[in-house]
Amino acid sequence: MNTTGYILVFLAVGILFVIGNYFLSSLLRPFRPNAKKLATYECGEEPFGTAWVQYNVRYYLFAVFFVIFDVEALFLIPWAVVLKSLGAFAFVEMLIFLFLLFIALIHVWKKGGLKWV
Amino acid sequence: MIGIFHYLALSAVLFCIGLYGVLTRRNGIAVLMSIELMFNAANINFVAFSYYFKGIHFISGEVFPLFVIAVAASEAAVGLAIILSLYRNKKTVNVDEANQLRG
Amino acid sequence: MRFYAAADEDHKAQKGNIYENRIRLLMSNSVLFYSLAVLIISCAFAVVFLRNIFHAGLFLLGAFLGVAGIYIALFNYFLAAVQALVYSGAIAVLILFGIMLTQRHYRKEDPSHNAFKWIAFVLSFGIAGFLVDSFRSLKPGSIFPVKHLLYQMGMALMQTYAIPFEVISALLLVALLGAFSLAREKEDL
Repeated sequence: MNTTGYILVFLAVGILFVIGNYFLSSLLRPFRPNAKKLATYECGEEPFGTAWVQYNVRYYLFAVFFVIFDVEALFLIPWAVVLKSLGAFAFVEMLIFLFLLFIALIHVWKKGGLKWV
Repeated sequence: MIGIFHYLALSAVLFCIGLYGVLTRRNGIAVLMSIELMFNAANINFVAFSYYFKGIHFISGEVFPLFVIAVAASEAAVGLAIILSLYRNKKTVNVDEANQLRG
Repeated sequence: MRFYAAADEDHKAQKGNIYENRIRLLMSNSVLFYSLAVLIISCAFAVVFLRNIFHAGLFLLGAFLGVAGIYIALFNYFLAAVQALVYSGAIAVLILFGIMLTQRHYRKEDPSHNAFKWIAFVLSFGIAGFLVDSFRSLKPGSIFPVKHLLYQMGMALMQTYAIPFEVISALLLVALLGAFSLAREKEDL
């Protein structure tokens, strides 16, 4: 049996384990639903409205900041791998790269984009 | 045995599904999602060619997806911001209804 | 070039990595490729055909993770990690946020596709069939495993592609400022 075989057996056993346990517990458990039991669990709070409320656009702005700086981090990793062999040249390159994004961050900060109101 | 053909076929089919979505979806966010699918198809092509046909510049095919991912992130951020702005002004996200600039 | 020679020496030093060989054996098996391909294509179909835009966004996440699996099958582990982190971790979340911000005026009875959908269907899947058919004559191609791919990628990024690297920084700056000024509320412009 090669490695793929092991992985397939692992997958099959995992899926069967989940399905089998659901089946076994459905045989054993009592089933008496009422309105209180079927309500959405929100840590003891009474749920109100639907889940589709209008979200604040600030969530989107912070998601954009996260995406942009995530992409920045992905370029940092190959740079960190070769920094030792390239030395000052790569260091200056990355300084320019970070400087431009730092300007953007400062601008957003000055305009109040990082405040949560 | 999996060869270059399989990866290219997968990439072509993915690209054309994305193309169909871009051409037909009315929701602007769905159009953006289809564009992301097309970006992914192009990336699969780059990496597959680089893996199967190694010339002196094979590493270009491995590096270029990084640039594509950066461009895709910028495109998603600005595109969604445009759609949010459209939604705020016209209460719609359908791209067919964004026709105020039509002559 | 200098970095190819260095990588080649490292390659000789690390001969016989048994773990690598085992993964290579696994990937040469077609089961994995076909299951990933089925995952990606079905998720992509769900993205373009589902009426509920939020469900389409969740299937988009599945398609991104499948593409990360394809990168593993092509032995670019760094790109697989980047795909999982940036595409499924950041861009898909951004798109889901955008969907949640614009759902109030979502009407069930509106058509989700425009009037050209049959023409577009024939056109795009005709192109797909033509492309797949024209790829059929390709030879499988020979595989040259590369050691220290991330090192070589970093070298290429820092030397050959130094200018595009800096341009990407400017692009990210413009995207950040553009998205910020477009998405902000009107009153604090």
